[in-house]
Amino acid sequence: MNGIELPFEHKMAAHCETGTVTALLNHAGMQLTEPMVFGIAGGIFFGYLKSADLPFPMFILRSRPGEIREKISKRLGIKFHEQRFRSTEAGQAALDEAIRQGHPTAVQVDFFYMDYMPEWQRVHINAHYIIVFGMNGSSYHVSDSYYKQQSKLDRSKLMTARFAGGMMAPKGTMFYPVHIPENPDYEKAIITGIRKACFNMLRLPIPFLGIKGIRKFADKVVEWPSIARDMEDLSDRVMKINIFLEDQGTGGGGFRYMYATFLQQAAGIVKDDRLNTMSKQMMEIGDKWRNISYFAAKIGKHRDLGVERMKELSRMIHSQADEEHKFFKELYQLVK
Amino acid sequence: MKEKEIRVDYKAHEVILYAEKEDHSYAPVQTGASLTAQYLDDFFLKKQNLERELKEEMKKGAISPVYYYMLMQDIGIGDLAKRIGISKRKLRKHFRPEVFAKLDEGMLEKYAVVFGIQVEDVKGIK
Repeated sequence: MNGIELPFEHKMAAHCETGTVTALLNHAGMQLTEPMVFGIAGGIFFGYLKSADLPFPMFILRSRPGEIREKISKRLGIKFHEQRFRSTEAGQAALDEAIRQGHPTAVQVDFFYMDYMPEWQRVHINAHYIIVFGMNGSSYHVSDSYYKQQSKLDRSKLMTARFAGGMMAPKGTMFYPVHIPENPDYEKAIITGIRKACFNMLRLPIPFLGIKGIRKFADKVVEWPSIARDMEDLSDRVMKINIFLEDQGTGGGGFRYMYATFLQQAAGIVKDDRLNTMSKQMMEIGDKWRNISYFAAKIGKHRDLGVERMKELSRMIHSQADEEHKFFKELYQLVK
Repeated sequence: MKEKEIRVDYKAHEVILYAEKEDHSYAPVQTGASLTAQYLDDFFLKKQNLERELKEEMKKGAISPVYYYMLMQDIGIGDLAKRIGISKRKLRKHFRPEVFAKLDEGMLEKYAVVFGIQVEDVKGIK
């Protein structure tokens, strides 16, 4: 097979899904920032999850994987070609055909198989997104927003990653934009995105989602010592709080910094200075999440994980719930 | 947070964070990952200890390689069962060395793919 390498600008991004969608839209000629994509899609969220699928309880800080693309498409009138597959062969053939037709294409993968990343970073997460922009007989050219440069990935590795089973199985999901509207209504999309985010944080009638999820996390974290295997496992789980909030692709402060950036950019577009004030507040909320992640990393490292310390951590998280409750109620008043 | 407070010099693992620039605008900043920079040694230490403990358990005949890899790669039981295409109950049986020893090549191959290793490595851990 002759090699194909489509022209594509590789860029790092804070988060894989918003980064991938933004890069594809930028490539198609639409000028849109990553925070704008995140905000319009109403990506900010919180949830505390516990299930047999997870090795340990965890929390999430953004909406369901796949929702960024769905919502941005709906709110701005962008059309994506999206496909899933039953068979690996069909999935591979369709990807190759998309590349041949000249579309840099996003694929959903299990992060574990991205072997250009250092081994210690690679974990089994089926909700990772990368862009494929070229191929030859043995490998694909890929752009991963978590990696400094573009990379190559073995053909069979990519297929294993696209068709990994388990929780949130990617089922070969791939997509690329096919229609970009000429004059999208950004103001309306921004307001809808904000309203939806407020709804998700304040009003979902589910006890572990939104602000209620932050409280659930605060209440449950004190029980972690009794479910961890041993002290080192507990230390590892507590330090992962920092990873989930900071290093694992959130833009810092558990996506709150990126949301603050969105609100600042939105203030300029909808010409409402009150959003600037909200943006500053969100930045401060992000700083407090960052304090929590520093604290978690410190007590984890020193194995300082007694009852009092865990209660202290719990109090810090509860206080975040109070702050975010107040914040989203206020924000909702501006867009209702 | 301000850009200068957020920056960490650590080339081995870099991330994009959003921070306040000098002109008060918020923008992406490429910086070293603070946790990795400070605590990677501790992470490796714990991982090595876990590996050693699990290998001892395996020598004693208490656990199978399936259980070893599940913990080393931090996969949930339900998730792993779905990836292999068996029930959780059946997966739990594979944690026992005597049951594991009787698994056919096809099943071992499935485990090898999920764990990203060779079939020989599923059978015997070095």
